[in-house]
Amino acid sequence: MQTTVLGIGGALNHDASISLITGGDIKFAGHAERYSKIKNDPKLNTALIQDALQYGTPDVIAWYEDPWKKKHRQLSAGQYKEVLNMDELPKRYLKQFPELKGIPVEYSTHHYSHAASGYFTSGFADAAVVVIDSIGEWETLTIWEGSGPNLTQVYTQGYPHSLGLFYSAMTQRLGLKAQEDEYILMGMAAYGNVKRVYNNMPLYRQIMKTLGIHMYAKEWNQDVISFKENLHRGCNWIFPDLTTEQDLFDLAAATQLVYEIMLGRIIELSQQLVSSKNLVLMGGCALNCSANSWITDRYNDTWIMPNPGDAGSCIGVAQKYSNEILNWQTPYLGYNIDGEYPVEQVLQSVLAGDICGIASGRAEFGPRALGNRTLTSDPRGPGVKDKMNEIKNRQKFRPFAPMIMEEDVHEFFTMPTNVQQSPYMQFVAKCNFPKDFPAIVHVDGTSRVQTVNKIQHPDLYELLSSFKAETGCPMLVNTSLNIKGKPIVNDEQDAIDFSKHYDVKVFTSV
Amino acid sequence: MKPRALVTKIWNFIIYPYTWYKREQAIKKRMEELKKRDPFIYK
Repeated sequence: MQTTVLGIGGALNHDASISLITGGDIKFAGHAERYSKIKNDPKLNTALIQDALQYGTPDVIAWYEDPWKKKHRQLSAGQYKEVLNMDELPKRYLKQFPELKGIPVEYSTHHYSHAASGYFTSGFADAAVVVIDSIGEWETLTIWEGSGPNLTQVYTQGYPHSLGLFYSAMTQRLGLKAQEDEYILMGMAAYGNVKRVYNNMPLYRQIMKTLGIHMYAKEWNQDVISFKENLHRGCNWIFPDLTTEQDLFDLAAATQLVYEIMLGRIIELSQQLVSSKNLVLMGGCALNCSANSWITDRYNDTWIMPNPGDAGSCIGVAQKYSNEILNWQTPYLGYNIDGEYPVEQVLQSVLAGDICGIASGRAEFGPRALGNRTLTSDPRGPGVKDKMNEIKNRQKFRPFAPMIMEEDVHEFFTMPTNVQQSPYMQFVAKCNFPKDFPAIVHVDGTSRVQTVNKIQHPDLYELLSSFKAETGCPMLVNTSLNIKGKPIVNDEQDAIDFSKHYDVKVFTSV
Repeated sequence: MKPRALVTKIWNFIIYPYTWYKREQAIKKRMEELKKRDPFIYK
């Protein structure tokens, strides 16, 4: 008999999520934030749970981490308030949801949940699985060997030496929100000067020196990366004299460079430890698409699932207790706006030069809009980027992503080595005609490309091919459909609210 | 320059390494205090 498992990821931490898996089929996966309308909401809510339970009744609830190991780490870190808060123990916390009453709750470990989410959705027969995030219970970096149905840990590194904490701490230093705005730091990096000299040393070397960052060879029997400073409380104190806008851009560029150097070292280690030619990259750090593009040449194939962060771990932990190989088909696993995709309406709107929204079908599972909750327009012409940035009320330097038909991607973009397609926007590619498409090209000439094929999303493919037939241009702009500071649109009411708020047409299912 | 001012200047010069060390220690201590006051960025 097939087991139905309700996987819970990211809850009581940041960005809670739920998945429902029966046998190997992922029936539902969604984020709490989309239902509560609180961005990165760490708390589960009844609406999300009820939506998930439409697809089946779970035999077991699988929680993505071990609360007791986590409390041990919190005690060691001095987070006494969290240690004493027993209301956040999963079994006690879940009692507030009567829908889940009587269902047994099982725990996994944080990094196993990440690794399983990546490996069992990859379709690889074997792979090296690298998980990098801020903190699990204790673990901050793990390497796993995936072989058939088995996943074995071959390397682990623990708190407080954490590459994820470093990136988040620097995000906070730039005046952004840690654990949320890391993607803005990544975007800012392109505007910085990586050769900047500060106190007689390149800025990136200054960062490494000040934070005491060292990298060691595997043979030295040390953590591969070590930090003298514990960055759990951030590093707002670093370089207090760097305050101008250009200083912050330079700091962002130096941070990104340090991150890429360390990521390269970690990948070298995974090559030493696991002989597979396939790589699975997971953890919140796997969302750094600029850095991801630098490491694809080390392996024949690289898989990063569309939701590699904590929220995505709800799939891995559910897999653990369903004991089946996952049948990964699509990232469209969330709330369903039923009906047909509004191909014709959107086509007419973008042909008329308008910016319009699409809210149709099941919501994407992951932080990126992939066509079902998307704000789109024609990418050509000089004014589109500013117009869209004005609508979304965000920093002017940030570009938008293109969605392009898979067969045309190599004509318009130079993809990273060994990357033929990028359906989940996990890599950046050099645009071959940046002057023709200013809205989707970053200042460094790259774009975070989403490739679309007929199998992945037939309706979106039809929209793109119709647009190409009319204009000769095979791509459209794609940015998430959300009001500033709010999560991505989930249901019909959100779409109406977005439309009223920004005076932009949003086409829902017809 | 008055003799008293000259003596003070020489004395300050002599004890400069010590004052520099004390100042650095004070900054370090203050920095540690500030760091401890910062909230955790991850639960």
